[in-house]
Amino acid sequence: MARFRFYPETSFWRRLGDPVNQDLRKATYQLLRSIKKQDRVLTSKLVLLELSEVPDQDERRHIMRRLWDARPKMVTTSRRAERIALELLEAGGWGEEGFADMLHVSYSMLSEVDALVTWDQGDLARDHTRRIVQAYGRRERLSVPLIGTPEEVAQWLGRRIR
Amino acid sequence: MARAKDPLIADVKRIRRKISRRLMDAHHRGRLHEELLAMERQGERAYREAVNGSKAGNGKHRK
Repeated sequence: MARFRFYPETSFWRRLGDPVNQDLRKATYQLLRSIKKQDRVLTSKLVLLELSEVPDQDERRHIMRRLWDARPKMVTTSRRAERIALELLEAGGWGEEGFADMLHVSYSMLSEVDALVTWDQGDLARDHTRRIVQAYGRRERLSVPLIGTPEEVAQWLGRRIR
Repeated sequence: MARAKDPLIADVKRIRRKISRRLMDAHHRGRLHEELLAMERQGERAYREAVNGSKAGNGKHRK
């Protein structure tokens, strides 16, 4: 039985094909191996759409096959998910270009995952975003995921990935 | 939203801004849900092609 539920967003999957930063790529693989063994991976069709834009065909195929190997549960959009994303966007004051970020947050809340895993420390894995999501979740009585990098998530779970 | 310096993140954010603009444009026209469903189908097709190594809709996609 799965212990935790994870929603790794696109930057996590992209890192699996990262030819530049070997350390972060290794950390990503290590967390993926760990969660594949004992946890549940969720993804969304929005992640698939974002991955479909990876310019290099071999890299795109490699990443998508790693995603496939994780046997993810697929999340599809809903009008409720879209409304939540719009409300989060307004609450955080991010502007319209942040809408897709908030869709990922919305999907992870509605799917009741334990953690949204991301390498995006500029926008998602930062205290401001966590505060907004937590306040919104509390007000709307929604599940609030941890939002963190693979290293942070591994630390929260007490797992070693480096 | 803040810009990232990591080139991989910068590319993810570039793609995401493009998707966000398209979706918000649809939202202003009252067509957000329909547009997002259409975009999801596009992503799913690419996924099937990548994992099957052949054209989408050939029935080989794992249920």
